[in-house]
Amino acid sequence: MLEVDIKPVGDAALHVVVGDRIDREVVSRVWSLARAIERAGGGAFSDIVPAYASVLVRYDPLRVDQAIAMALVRGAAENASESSNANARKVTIVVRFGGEWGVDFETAAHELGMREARFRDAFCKPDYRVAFLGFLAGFPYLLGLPPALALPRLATPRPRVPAGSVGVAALQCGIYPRQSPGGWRLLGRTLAPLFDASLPAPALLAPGDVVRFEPASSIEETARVEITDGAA
Amino acid sequence: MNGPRRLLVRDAGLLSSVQDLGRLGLGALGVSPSGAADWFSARAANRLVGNADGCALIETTMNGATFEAADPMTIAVTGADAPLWIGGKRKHSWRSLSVEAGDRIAIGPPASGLRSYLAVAGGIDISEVLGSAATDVGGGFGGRRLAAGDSLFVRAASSEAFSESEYEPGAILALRPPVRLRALTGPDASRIGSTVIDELFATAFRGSARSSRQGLRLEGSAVTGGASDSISAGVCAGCVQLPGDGSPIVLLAEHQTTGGYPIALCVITADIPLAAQVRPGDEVRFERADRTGARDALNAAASRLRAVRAVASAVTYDPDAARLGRGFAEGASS
Repeated sequence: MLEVDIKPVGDAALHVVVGDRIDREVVSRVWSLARAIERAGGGAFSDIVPAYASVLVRYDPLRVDQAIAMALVRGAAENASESSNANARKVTIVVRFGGEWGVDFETAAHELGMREARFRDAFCKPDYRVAFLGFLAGFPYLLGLPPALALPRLATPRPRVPAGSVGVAALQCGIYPRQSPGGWRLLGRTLAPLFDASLPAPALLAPGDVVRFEPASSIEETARVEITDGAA
Repeated sequence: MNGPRRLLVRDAGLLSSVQDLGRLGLGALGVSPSGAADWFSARAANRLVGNADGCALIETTMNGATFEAADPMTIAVTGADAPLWIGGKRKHSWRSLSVEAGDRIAIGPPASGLRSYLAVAGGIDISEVLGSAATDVGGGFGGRRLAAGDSLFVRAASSEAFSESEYEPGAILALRPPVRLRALTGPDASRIGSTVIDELFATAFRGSARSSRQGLRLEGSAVTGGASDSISAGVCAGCVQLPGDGSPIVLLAEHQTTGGYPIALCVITADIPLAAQVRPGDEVRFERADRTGARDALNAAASRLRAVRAVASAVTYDPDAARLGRGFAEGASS
């Protein structure tokens, strides 16, 4: 049973809010709620979009009454469990840091008063968790950046961030699946394909996945991805 | 017939792309729905030529575009109030038209409105990406913007004996500015405060040249105050974001799946087509709606969409026949 606050978003969607902060505990409630809504929704919902602390549910207002959509969501929340995701997949992503691979790496280390090697090791040490995918197709919002490494986003976004860039902004961390404008600090880059629309499962990462960054020892290595199924 | 029929792009104008009703259902992957920005005009164009609502068609922008039929086909143009020429002759939009091989289909600069829709009986034959033919122009997949010299295949029409049909003037979009967008208060309205919300409803905005398929940006009269950014959450078309600079953004079809700006208002589904047709410089005002009003407006739009009628004395044409009376909710993949 999950406590939820349901707010209409216009006449065709609902925000189902489970918390008011960005952390592991709140986002794991989001994962569990999103799954429960998917099970309960049947054909009523046209899209279910989880984020840090809420799930957006879309419906066709000519087919589904708002009251019915709300009742389905409330029922789903009652059946959702607090905990979830004990068997998370582990995904190792190999990253080349600094230089043209991560144009903000050196200045970021300097701003934090750390040697580059120590900054890189501190960044690679924690297990990150995919909170949700958003912004661009396949872009993971990762939780787990150590607060000591937090840096503000750029005052002026760059018109072009290269595909595969690993960026940070405050306590957020993410990977750009394709070239796009972006204001996050770029530490390094992977050549792993994060989104491929031609695959049956187009996104490399899914909410709940554990992500580990590993420094690349060679350029060829940056295309390497290791996935360990958590169920194993 | 010898091989598939073809439609050639002669001048793609500012931005022309293949669209359908979007790739809904992939928001959890960060995939934008994309699809036709003006759902009403896109569905109407398809209905005029006897297609299902979700058939692939062409969306053009702003200054018009020119195509050429390499083979005979039935077409219809809807959307912006733009002049239309077929083989050099002025023709009506919001009406099905027969086109001969070699005829140029020229959509001129609109007198009002921004986007036109060109549907072909049978639909544009283009491979689907993630279950949809929609081009995600900003996201870079599902195709690309059309360019002069492109050649598009057209699927065989389901019925050769399709009778000429049209929408009566009262059924089509009234696009002349000032544009009134009816809106409900958004999920962050209480955090933003009623003073700012009232100001939003009282302000005459102007469409910005920085608008895109992702969102209609409004400027000219920034709203004072507002609220700090929210924790990023899912968004949908119609959401009116209020960034710190006080210039609202009305999200359109190609919106990102999540956003952090507070959502002050939500344009009702029935008026999203009007938001998609706002041109840079057009005056835009938000008008307070309630839940019942939103529902009535959508039902009214759905009946206007069904009111496609036969031209002249076409026999036994029943707008509610299965083919045209298909569920309004029908998605991209029928």
